[in-house]
Amino acid sequence: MSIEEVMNYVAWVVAIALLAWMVVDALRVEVTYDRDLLVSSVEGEIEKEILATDEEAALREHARAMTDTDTEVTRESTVHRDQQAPPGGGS
Amino acid sequence: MAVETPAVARTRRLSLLRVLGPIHIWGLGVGIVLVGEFMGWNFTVAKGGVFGGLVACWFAGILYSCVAMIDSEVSSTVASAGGQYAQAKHIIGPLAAFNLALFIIFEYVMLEAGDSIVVGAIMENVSSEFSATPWVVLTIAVLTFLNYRGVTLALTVNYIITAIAFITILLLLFGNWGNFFTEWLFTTEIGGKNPEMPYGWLGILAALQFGIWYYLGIEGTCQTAEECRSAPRALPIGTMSGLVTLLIAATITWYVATGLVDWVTLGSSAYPLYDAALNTGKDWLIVALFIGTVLSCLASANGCINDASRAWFAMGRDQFVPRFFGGVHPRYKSPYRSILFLVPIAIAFAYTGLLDQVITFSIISGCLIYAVMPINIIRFRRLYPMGSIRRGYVYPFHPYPAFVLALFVALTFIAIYFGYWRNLVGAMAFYILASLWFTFHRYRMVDRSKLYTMPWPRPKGY
Repeated sequence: MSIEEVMNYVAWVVAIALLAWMVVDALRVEVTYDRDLLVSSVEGEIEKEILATDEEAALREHARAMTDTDTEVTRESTVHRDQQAPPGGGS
Repeated sequence: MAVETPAVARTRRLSLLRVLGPIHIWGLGVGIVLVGEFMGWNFTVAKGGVFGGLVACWFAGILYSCVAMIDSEVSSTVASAGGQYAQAKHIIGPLAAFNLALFIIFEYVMLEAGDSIVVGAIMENVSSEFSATPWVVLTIAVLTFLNYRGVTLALTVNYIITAIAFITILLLLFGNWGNFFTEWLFTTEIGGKNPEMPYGWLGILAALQFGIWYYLGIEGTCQTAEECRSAPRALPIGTMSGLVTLLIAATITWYVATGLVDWVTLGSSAYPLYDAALNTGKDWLIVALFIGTVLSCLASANGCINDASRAWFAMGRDQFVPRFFGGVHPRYKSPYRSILFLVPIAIAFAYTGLLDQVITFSIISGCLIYAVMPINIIRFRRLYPMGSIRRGYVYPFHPYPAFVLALFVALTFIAIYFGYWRNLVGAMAFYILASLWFTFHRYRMVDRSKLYTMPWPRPKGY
């Protein structure tokens, strides 16, 4: 028997072993896990996540804007108060 | 001790792993296609001559530029497994989606079978004592195993072997620099005809159907949309960079092969780039191109398994085929049932050894996908005008690329009809019968309330 013929048999053995491993693994999964869980994947989760991220970003932006406005108002009122306060006074 | 509440247990879901980046998408797109540079494209030269081959290369380049642009816009928006199937489901309707899924599955399963047939043929060429069949089955088994174990492993391997195969083409160009286009290739009438355009413009028309070999399968990148870390970023970058790579590879391939092999030999060669390497007389280039040819076949088959299984998986999830096929492996997060289901089909087609028939069916199925794309994008822009929904990528010059694509696909179908009208009629008959089965039988079992998942606003005009 030539080396090529031996390699042909080796190819058969490796191919069958790999296919058999996958079939056995798939059967093991079928008996181990709940059937509904295995088919629980749904389409569109990504899009929802993107929208959720957008929504969160918008909320963060809004919160930041509000904080900035509050800070601005506080700063302005402080400046206004300082302007109204007598120089060097306060105590 | 923490106890999982029933509510939490009910909401637990399995989903495909989101791990892919632009580099994986590049590997997938280029990997499926690159085999077309190593074989198949050279039949353009048999029909159209040396210049006909170049015209077909550019013609197909324009066609696929349109495909890549349109696909990038829609798939970066409808980022779901199944690619064009999911797109058509949301934009055209369920029957179009069902047909597109079938086109995708047959395009890729047939291409996978064709790739493995070539691997078997290469082994037989290495030594007559090698038998093709065990190597065909081994190819399919190993690549299926990679895909079964998860998308990261499969597409990382794909990226590496695709990059090596691409480098071998560059080696042939630079390793033989300055020795292309010897006088006898053009001044001598080999085969009694002028090698430049032996059959005139009719020959160039006939060459168009083989020109798509240069790029066939690049549209498969969007099958993994659901597995990208950021689909709106990864898909356009991966697909466009893949197309640019293929445009470069196709031009180099035409240049080196027509510059080293006479048009008659080239037009009938099984491995044109390998034959070109043989004509250089440099052993290291011959070995490099042999490795490149084998790796390109493996990369293509690997990507095909990935894409076909995603389309079948997506149909299973929507109950267009039994829900069973929408299963996800709890450990590897791969669509393992769909992957395994398609193995015997690929082996059966590969076992026939009818390479030309198998590949022709794949090409026809691919062209049918491209025929639907212009309708898809025009309807998409009408239903959801700019600004109405978030798009990851916006393709330029709409609707002209869609019109160009429609025109070029029509020309390709005319060319296919001239050469393979029986295959074309047979394929159409098969798809019409499948559509009847779907419309009058299967669609009744579909839960339509769960079919449309994109949280988009109501389409314009509805």
